[in-house]
Amino acid sequence: MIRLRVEHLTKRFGGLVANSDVTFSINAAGVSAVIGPNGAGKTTLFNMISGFSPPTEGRVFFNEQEITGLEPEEIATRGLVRTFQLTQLFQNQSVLENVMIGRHVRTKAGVIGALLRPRWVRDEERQTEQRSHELLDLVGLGAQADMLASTLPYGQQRLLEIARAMATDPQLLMLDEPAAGLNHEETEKLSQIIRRISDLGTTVLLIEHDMRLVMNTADHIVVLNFGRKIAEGSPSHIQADKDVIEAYLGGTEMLDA
Amino acid sequence: MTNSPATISSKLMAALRHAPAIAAAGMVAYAIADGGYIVTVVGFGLIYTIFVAGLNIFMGYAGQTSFGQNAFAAIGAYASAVLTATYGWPPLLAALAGIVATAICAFVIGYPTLRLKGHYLAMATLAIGLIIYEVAVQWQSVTNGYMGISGIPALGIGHYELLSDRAQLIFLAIMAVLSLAASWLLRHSRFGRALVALSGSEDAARALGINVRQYKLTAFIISAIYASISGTLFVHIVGFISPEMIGMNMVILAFTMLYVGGIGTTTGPLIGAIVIGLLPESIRSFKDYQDLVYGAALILILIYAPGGIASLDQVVKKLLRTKAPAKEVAP
Amino acid sequence: MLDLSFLGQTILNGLSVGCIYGLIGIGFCVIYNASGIVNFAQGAFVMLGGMITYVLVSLNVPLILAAAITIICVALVGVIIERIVVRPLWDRKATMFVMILATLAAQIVIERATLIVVGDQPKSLPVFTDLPPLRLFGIAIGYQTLWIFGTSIVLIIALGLFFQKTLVGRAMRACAINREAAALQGIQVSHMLALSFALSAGLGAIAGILVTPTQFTAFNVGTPFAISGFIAAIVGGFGRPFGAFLGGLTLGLAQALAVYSLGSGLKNMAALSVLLLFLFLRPSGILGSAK
Repeated sequence: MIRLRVEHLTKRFGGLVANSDVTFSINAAGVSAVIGPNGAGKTTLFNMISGFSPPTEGRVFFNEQEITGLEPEEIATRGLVRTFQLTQLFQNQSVLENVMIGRHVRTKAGVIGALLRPRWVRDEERQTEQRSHELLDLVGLGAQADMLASTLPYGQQRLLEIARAMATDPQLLMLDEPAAGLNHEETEKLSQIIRRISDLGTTVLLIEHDMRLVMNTADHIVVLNFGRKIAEGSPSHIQADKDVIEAYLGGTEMLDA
Repeated sequence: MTNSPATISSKLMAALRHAPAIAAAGMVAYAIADGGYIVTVVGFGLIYTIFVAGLNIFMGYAGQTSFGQNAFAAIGAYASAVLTATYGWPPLLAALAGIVATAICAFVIGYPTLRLKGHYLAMATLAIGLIIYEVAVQWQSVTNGYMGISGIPALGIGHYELLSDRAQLIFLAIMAVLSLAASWLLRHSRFGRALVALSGSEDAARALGINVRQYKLTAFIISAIYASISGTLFVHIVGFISPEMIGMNMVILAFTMLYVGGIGTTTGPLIGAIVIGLLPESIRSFKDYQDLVYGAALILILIYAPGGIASLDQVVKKLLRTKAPAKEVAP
Repeated sequence: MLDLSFLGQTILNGLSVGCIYGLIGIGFCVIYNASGIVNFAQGAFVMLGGMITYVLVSLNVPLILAAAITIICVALVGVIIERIVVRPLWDRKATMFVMILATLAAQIVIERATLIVVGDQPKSLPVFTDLPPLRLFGIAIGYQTLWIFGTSIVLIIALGLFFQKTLVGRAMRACAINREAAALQGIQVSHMLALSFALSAGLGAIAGILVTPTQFTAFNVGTPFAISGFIAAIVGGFGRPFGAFLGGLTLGLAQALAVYSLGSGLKNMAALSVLLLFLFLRPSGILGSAK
């Protein structure tokens, strides 16, 4: 089953072309990755898919339904949820509350419910809290639930953002450079968590710089350069691709890997 | 472990966190028991508690900006004043009409205004407050212009009127407690979480499926309803309303209270309103200097204690933390 | 025919007060460009301009000297606000909202202090040139109007030269384009902030001195003037000083026409409506936003 399909996606900012005619599709099963050197247009691609910046041309299909031009909140409600390159946590809230906020689209209580607290609202609150604890355990932050998000070390903040996104019960989780700023050990742990999320039935699509993470984690890779797709395939296929090697030649990314 | 200094100090901290709110509540209880002149002052503080609690929902929880909430207090106040004094409606019905009118106005005003950001939003809301003031001055046939409306009856249902100062104060205290309780319930719910989310990062909130626009507008309307209720209470307690009572100085006063009490905390509005409400009593011939002192106090708080009194424990914690390592270093 | 000359008179008066709004609007832009701050205390400078000059003149100081002293004093007040209120918040990287609130509070403090010192009675100044107005096609052109037009034009040319030709002016423009880059080139951004407050306060004071003989000044005229100046800045596209001046003329004209057709009670309402209209429909102004 195809989870995500993009057709001829193009984004122009004035005269600058950030993405040009990008077409690919992502299977429901497994972990996929979009890679490319700096400025290859990866984040712009993410913004187009998640609705933050509508494409100039082209179409986006999620579960074979078109979502081009929908608002981000609507896309998220449908089950396509993203994280950000620079973590956007709710810094002044507790770790637990950050994840609970993520349950928004899967819960219903409104203003009246909040004020009158009928039974179903109390049940919903309890379930929200319970599910949030489970997700914190999934990313290994169970013990930090009551801490302020801002007091977490950087690596754990990234994990918290993943837990929060998972709280929406997404069908497709898009991670924007989740390993940025992580050390070797943390990246290893992140890789395991991503695999586990995938095993639990959520499709994962990541943008990544860190080749080690991509090659260890992804089943399917799309390579962008200067806003165009230059290759697509399995990790071993990509590692042998001439265009890809050329694109990365002299770049630090390959050397890291 | 239970006797370790850390545990004791954390208990102390917890006590300290609630101390200002308890002290403010104590002040209200004292005023109810005493029944003297202090009743007027505390009553004034309680009315402002409601106004500031509403402001806190929109600004503290949702992190938005409005310099024009006085507009909604004005709508509530004038609706009550005109309907009861001029048309002889019972106060409760007039108050409800005022609330409905306020909610509709808040929706109509908020829908285009809340799309603005930054200083545009600030100036647009400021303009709305000023427009309502101008309306109150110019719409002479209804508002009686600068002269204002007097002879507004006391609160009451049917034949039961709240005539004694003490009965009024108790009623105000109940209203204030209800509005703080509602504020707490809203904050600790799915709704409140959506507000703090959009306050923290609109992009992140949207990425999690939160309809940012809708939640901002709802918070704005709730905040306006709080303002309307406080306006209604005000005219019935004082018995008089004029444009001067709902001008810019009201906004500055409310902000001073919000920041003194602690923006974003549930009990902050009560603390701020009581502290600032009592301030005039401690300074003789304060009246002339009132707005001057409020303005100056606000500037000082913004610069030196942006968390307000409600976050006093944080300040103490910070002080202790900076001292603690020094002790450890000492042999 | 009589009505037409009345209309002409209205337009002239509108343009004249529009110059005042424009000068205040430029003041907003100067600070905004140097710092990204919108100074809501801008109206206080205008009020102080008229008020301090009034006090000096009533102490028998010659008008020109009084005006000069006033401009320097108000510029100093600008720097004081920058030092006491804005700088500490700026250093703490306070949010834009806190900055607006603090400057608004500063405006209230100045306003109330003025009330305590001079009382709540409106004050006025004598016109600069006490001659009967010129008559042109049945329109009376007062000398004060000429003073306003003349001073505004001189100020705009002077500001243009300042920003184009002088080192300091260019440094300020560099800050407006990119503060970080400007700092890297050795420009003292914090000095620019103080300077922008001085400049903007001085402009506000001049506007206040020019306008007071045609109407009056009182402790509370600041806020309406600040709003009008802000509208001028928005209409012109925020951050464009010249645009702000055009915006001021537009607003002055619109306001005069509204008063002409709807009555004088609606003067403030007209201005506020123009503001909301622009905010809702075209927040980037006539010329487009500077950033």
